[in-house]
Amino acid sequence: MRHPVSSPGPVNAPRPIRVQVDGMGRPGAVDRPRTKEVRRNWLNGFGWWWDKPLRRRYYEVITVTGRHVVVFREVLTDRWYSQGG
Amino acid sequence: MRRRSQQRGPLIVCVHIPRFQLRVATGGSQDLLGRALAIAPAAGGAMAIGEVTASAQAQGVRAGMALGEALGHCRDLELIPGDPIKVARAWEQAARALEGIGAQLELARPGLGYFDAEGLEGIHRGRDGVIAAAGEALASRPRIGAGPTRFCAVAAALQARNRRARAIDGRNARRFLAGQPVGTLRYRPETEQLVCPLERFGVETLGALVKLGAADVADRFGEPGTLARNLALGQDTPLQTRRVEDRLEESMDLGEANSGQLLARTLGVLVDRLLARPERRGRTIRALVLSARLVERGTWCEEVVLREAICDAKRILLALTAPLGQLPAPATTLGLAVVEFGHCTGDQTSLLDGERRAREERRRKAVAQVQALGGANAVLRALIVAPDSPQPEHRSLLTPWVG
Repeated sequence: MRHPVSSPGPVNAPRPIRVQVDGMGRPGAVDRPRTKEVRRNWLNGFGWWWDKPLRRRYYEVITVTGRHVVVFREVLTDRWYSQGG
Repeated sequence: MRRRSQQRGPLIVCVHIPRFQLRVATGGSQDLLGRALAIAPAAGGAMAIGEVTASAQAQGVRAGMALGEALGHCRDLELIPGDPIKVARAWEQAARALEGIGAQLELARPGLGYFDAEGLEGIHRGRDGVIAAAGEALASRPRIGAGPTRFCAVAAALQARNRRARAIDGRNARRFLAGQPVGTLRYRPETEQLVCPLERFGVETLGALVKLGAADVADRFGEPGTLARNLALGQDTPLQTRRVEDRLEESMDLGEANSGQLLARTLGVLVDRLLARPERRGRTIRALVLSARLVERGTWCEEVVLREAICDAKRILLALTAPLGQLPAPATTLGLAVVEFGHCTGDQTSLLDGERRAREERRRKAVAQVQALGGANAVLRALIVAPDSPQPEHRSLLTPWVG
C-alpha cells in the first residue's frame, strides 16, 4: 500500500508495522493478512563504529490479499517496520 | 543617578553582561565562581583563548591570549569548548527582550548592546524608568551604564555594580572619562589593539591619552589613535541600530552525510526550505548565518553577507559553498538562518530566450497558486541527497518547490 506523501522529509521513511512471525522468525502475517510468500530476505548491516549501528533484516513479502510489501526487523531492538512499496 | 530626570541631551544606555559567552557555554553563572576557566580556542582558528573567569584573570590570563601563554600563567586553567550557536541564540533572546521595551538596539557583540533612551522616556516615565525597564527585561543581571555617548555609557557600565546602574551627566562626561583606564578602549573593535602599546608607554588613563595631543597620537597610532582620543574627549559616532526582523531558521541532522558533496546537497535542501517559508513574504536575502553542531563537543557558525540581496537558490548555494568548506570538523547538524532581508523581488524579464522564460514563468505562477491554496508544502520535489546511503530513508528528501 502506497501512503500519500504530503510533507517535507525523507522519502521511504520506515513506518512501524505489526508483524506476526512464524517458527523460523520470518513474517507470518503483516498487518493481519497472512503471508503467502516470502520472496527473498537480506541483511543490511552498516556502521559498526556508530553508537547505534545499522542492522536490519529485510523481507520482501506477498500477502494472501496480493499485497506486495517490504518489511524489516531492527535486529538490535526487535521491532518491525515497513519501507517503500 | 541623582536628578537624572532633569538632565537634557542624548542619553545612550549600555547593557553589559560580563563574560556572556562563558556563562552560556557553562550553562549558568554559578559554575564560574572560583574556577579558572577559559573558552578553548576555536577549531581551525588562531590558538587564542576566549573569555576567561575572574579567577583566571587574577592569575594573569586574559581573553585573546595565546593558549601556551595562558597555560604558562595558570597551570590549572580549564578549557571549555565555545558554543557560538547557543551564544547567538541567547543573545538574540536578550536583544528581543530589550526590543520589547521599545529600545532600538546596536549590538556590539554578545553581551554588549546600546540604545538611545530618547523617545522611551514617555513610555517608562523618565530616564530612570527606561534604565529600570532595561534591567528588568533581562533574566541575567546586566550591568547598566548611561552617558551622552556610547563610549561613555560602556565606561559607566564597567563601573556599575549588579542591580545598580551608573549614569553620567553630559557635563561630567569628560571628567569621568579622564579617570577611566585605557583598557576601556578594548570595548571598541577599532581601538582594541591600542590598549597594549598604550600601557607599555605608561599611558594608563584616558586622561593621560588626551594630554598627549592630537597630532602626536595621530602620528604614532594613526586613525585608531585619533578615534581613541576623540572617544576619551567624549565624542563618538551615532548609534547604528539594527532593524527588527523575523529570523528564519532551518536545520537538519546529517547522519552519515556529513562531508563533501552530500553536505552540499543537504545545504541545498536548507536553502530550499528557507526560500519556501511563507514568512519570507517575497523578500530577497541579504545575509545568512551558516551553523553546525560538531561531532566533537562544540558548535561552529559563520555569517555570510551576499554581494547583493537575492532569492535565487543556486546563487545563494554558491555563496555558501566556500564557508561550508571551512567547517573545522565533521558535523552532526547543519543549520541556516536568515539574519537580514533585502527588498522584495521585482519582475526582471529576460531580453533573450523569451519562450523558455515564459514557460518557466507559467510554471512558477502555477506552483505559486497551488502553494497559495495548500501552503508552502503543497508542491514538493524529491532531492537526491545521499544516493549510496545504506539507509534507504537517507537517500532522498522531499523539499518545498521553490519557483
